[in-house]
Amino acid sequence: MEQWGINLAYAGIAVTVLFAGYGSALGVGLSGQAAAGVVTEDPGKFGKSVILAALPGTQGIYGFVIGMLMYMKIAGVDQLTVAQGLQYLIAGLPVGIVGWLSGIWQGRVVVAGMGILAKRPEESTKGIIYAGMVETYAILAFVISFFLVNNIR
Amino acid sequence: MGISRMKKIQIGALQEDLPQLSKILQNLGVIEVTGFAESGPEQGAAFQTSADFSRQIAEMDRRLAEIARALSFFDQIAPVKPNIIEQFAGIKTYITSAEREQFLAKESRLTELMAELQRCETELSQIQAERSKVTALYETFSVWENLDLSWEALQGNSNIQMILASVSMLSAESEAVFKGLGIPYYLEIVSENQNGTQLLLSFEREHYPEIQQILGKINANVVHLPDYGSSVRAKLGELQKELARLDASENGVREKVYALKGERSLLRVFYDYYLSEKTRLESLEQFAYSHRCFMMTGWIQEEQLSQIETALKRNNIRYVMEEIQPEPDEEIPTILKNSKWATPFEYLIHSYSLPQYKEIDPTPIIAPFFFIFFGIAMGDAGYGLILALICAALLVKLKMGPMGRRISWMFLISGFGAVIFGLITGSVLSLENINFGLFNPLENPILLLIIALGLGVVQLFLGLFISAYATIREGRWMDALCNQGTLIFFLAMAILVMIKDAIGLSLYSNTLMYLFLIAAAIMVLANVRGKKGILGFIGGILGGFYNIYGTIGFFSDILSYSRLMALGLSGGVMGGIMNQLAWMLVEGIPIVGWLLGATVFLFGHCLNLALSLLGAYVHSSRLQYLEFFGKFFEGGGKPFTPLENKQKYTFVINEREA
Repeated sequence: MEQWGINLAYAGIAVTVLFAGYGSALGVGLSGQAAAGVVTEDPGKFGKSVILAALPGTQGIYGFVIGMLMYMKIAGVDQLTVAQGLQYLIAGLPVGIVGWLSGIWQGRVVVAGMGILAKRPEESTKGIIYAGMVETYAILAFVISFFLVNNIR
Repeated sequence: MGISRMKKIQIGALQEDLPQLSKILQNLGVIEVTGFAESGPEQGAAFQTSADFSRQIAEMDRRLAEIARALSFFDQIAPVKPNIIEQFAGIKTYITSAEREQFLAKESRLTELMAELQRCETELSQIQAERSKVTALYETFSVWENLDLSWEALQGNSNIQMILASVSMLSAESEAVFKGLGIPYYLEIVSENQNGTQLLLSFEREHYPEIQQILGKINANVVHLPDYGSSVRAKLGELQKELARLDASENGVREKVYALKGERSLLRVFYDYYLSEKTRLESLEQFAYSHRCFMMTGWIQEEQLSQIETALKRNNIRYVMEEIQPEPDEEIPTILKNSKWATPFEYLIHSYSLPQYKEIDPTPIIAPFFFIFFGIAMGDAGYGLILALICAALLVKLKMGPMGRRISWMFLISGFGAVIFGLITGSVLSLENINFGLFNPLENPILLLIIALGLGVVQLFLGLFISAYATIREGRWMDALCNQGTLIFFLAMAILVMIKDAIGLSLYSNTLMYLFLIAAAIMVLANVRGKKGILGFIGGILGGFYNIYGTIGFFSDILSYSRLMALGLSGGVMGGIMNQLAWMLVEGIPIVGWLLGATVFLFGHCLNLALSLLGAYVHSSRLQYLEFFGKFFEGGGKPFTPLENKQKYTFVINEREA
């Protein structure tokens, strides 16, 4: 039974890093494809397209940071109760799941933003802002996950 | 400060001075030319509203197209690699105005250069055409390489006829068909490959019809080779030599063009010159003309009026200038004008939307907030310093246009925001054994959250006050009091009620509660103002309650500022992880570990710096655009676009910078 506490905590770390990372990978994948299209037409837009394409990458970072915090907390501990393990798992869910979905949707917004960059490059900052709006929810989830992890005794 | 005061002026002068006067105005670049209204009283019957410059404009277009073509030809043969700034700003040639004059004096060289490039381009396309002809011929002959008859022998004599044929596959059956014919013939397989078989057939001339029939049956095509002289092999060698010759001459032409690439600047300077000329001619179409005079009108910044007078007087141009009243519904162009420190932050406004002429310029207000927000979101003194140093280096090393300089200055200044906040929190490259600063965000994240939300409260209330001020400025005192005034009172009370315990006002909790209810009541009642009848009254009350419900949006805006804390924390944790990884390598592996550790440290922090920078910029500006501007800013102003010299490829800098 003692083992289950640690197992659950590991599952928590996995869920956090896995889902958020998956969302970012998909988001960056989508936006990278669109960016490549824009650069085919005009290689001069590489710089701006990189900024846009990098935006959905942050969810993965948030997941990684929370996962790392969890790891650092349990690294020195030999035993965890099942309740504690479950707390780790639950604490990882907000950033894991919101990071996953918001990463994908942010990627889609960025793909549309690439259209702005291609056709009206002077307005491309607005595309960045639209993508940034999706990020809000990943950030909120990150904040909650952070406090939850911090609170586990 | 804020938005420059604009004046509308009208200038009249003699037609003989038209080219000179318009060029002077263009060089000054201070006046935005507008057209005359259809039935403007100032025109009078003597003026006709338009003149035809289309022929001259078309001439400019022709020259521009020629130069653009030459430039793209250059790019094809000698492409330019853009550096990191040019990735963003486009490649420009930076010249001083003296150099520009020197370039413009060489118009004859331009003609020569263009003719030369044209010649090279024609030559290249000729070589291309010839090459494809030779290649096609080579392909035709190459399958017949083993044919050892000369072309003359292939023509046969009066008795014997020889033909060449190619067939996709020669089966035993088709050979049987030949044999079954019962006439003497000779068949030789010249070559065989996956594309088909090449045959040489010889027979008596009289049997040609039968042979033809059989060839049709086995789907063979008769091939007529052009005259190749003594042998196909020799011909192939000749063709190869021909191809090599063509390659050499193509390289020769390319090298010639490549050697000319130093003169690309000449093309670019002239492109911009003709583009400016075209713009000037187009603006002339907006002037009004009489028999001997012309009249123009446009917008100018108040303090630049004297510049026009001095310039025109210096050039001895006789003119009349007067200030006129704009049309009542005319849109006045906006140009921002701020102090030295706030000017770099104008970039944030430009990439959102310019304020309308009557609005307040938010630049000086958002500048300090952006500075602080950026500092918290980046949150590391080391990163801030590196960013500031990079920007300083860019400013010193690279020549940039005004927008590039503004962006660099903005990040330079904001980098110091991160330095300050990093020092407050004792965070330098997230190193652990540094223990100074007022608090550690990782140990006390709640304090960081409170700071972030507190800044949000301050900025959002400021937004409401600005919106009230703008209403008052329009002379609508009562509106400001009833809308923004009651809202501010209500929100302030609501916040006090929420945080009364935390700030030690719990003793007054009842008083605060009453004040809050009174504020809510006032807000509902204020909404009734100006509504008529009993239905209007009820509608007003309901609307008032709806307004209270709408204040939830205000609180969600405040919560949005928590992103500052999240960005600061995630950057800090990420940096800490990089340090740990690096240290693990140093401790784990002897000697080589130091090298690996240093690599991980450098690479990791570079990555984290880039991500922090991206996040800090995007989210600090988003807080201005969505949360703050939402409270008072309308935007949609028409940017001031003076008649000036166009700079698509070149950028004229003053001698000092060069």
